[in-house]
Amino acid sequence: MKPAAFQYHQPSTMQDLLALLDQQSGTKMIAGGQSLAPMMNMRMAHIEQLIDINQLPELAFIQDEQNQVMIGAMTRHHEVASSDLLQGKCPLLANAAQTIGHYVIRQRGTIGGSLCYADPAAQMPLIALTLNAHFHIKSIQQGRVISAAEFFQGAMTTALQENEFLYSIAYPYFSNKTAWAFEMFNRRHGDYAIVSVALSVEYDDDEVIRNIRIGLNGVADFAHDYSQVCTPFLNQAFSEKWLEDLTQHLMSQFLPFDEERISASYRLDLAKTLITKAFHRAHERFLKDRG
Amino acid sequence: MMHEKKVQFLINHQPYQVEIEPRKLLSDVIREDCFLTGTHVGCEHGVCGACTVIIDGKLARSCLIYGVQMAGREIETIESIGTSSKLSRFQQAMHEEHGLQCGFCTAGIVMTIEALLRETPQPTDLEIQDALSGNLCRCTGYQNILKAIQKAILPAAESI
Repeated sequence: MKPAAFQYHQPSTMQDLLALLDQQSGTKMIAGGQSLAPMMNMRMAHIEQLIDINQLPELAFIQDEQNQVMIGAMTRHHEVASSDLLQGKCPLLANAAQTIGHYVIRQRGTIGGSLCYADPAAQMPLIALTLNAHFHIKSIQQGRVISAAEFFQGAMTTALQENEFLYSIAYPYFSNKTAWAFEMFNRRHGDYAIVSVALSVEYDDDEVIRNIRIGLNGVADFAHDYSQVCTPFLNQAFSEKWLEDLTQHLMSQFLPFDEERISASYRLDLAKTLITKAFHRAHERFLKDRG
Repeated sequence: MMHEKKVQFLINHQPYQVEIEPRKLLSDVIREDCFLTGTHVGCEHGVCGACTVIIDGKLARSCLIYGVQMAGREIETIESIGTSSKLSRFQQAMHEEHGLQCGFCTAGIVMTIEALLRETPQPTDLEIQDALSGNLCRCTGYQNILKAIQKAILPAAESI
């Protein structure tokens, strides 16, 4: 459980970081290290050049930008989970962050680290895809902004080039008539979920559902945004029949896979239960907030 | 092929300077280079919580951090909590509630709960369980530890 030798770099300015990424090959950045360090310690990851960005506090922030909340990539999960701004403007993200690992892990792990690691069962990629977050990426030559759907290219794979790094992520505001739910199932507290559902539902003044954003983990090879699939079910009011039909329709889109201990059919059953729970929870929240 | 680096940091307010390979885990640096053996090493990949310390006021698994990352940081280890003649409030509660047998996991549990109570003086049951769930104990079981945590929580008025 000791890692192989690596070269260590600790840039103290953004310019130094950009220059290192440009000049060195075989680099890997370490933020919280809650996934990377175990991989290195077990020698599943062999890193030649480790770039530590913990001396760059300017990468940790949560900023209100009118229609969106901008979050620096080095922001720790605990800060995301306990941010009043996010609880108000993007509660789905804050509450999903609360479910990551354990208290100690959330003190150290970062939102950018989790997104760049792109684990297919992790919360942060799922929320970013579901809410259509935008990723602000920098390199020494240029900056670019891409959508979550463009950023994630599959399990453990992102669109980041070797000389680029993720600077910040922008999440759109929730309207005040948007209810949300995050439901997940795992066998042990703190583990990755087998299936999880992220949901936001926007109502109008007459309680008609105008917009749905829904994403799931665990029913395909990566987190996926199924919001488009819900279009035929918009402009209707919540009812049990409506939810049953919508759930059936959603499930026809899933491509679950068999694993040694978790069958595809079990994943489908879990998905059905969690989708139903999520819509009920969101609707309860909507009714409660409406008062 | 050794590439040792000089690193300076504080542990429990005392300055340390060590010469270490970048790949050396902080848990090993604390034990082998700083001779503070209260921090225990269990799984060395972030699962068991035995090596938990506090860095700049925030909890961290010292096996998931490399010592070389600690330049200029302030670390707190179990040696800073209580003394053998005067235990901390939570240590005393662990003693009274029989919260440990072999004691291997105890240093990590004490650090976790001391930090939790600093940030959240009156945690909910869920917050306590979430915090404790990151620390494995294989002999006492968790019920006595939970009782000890409840005992260590100050009433709301006193904690202000």
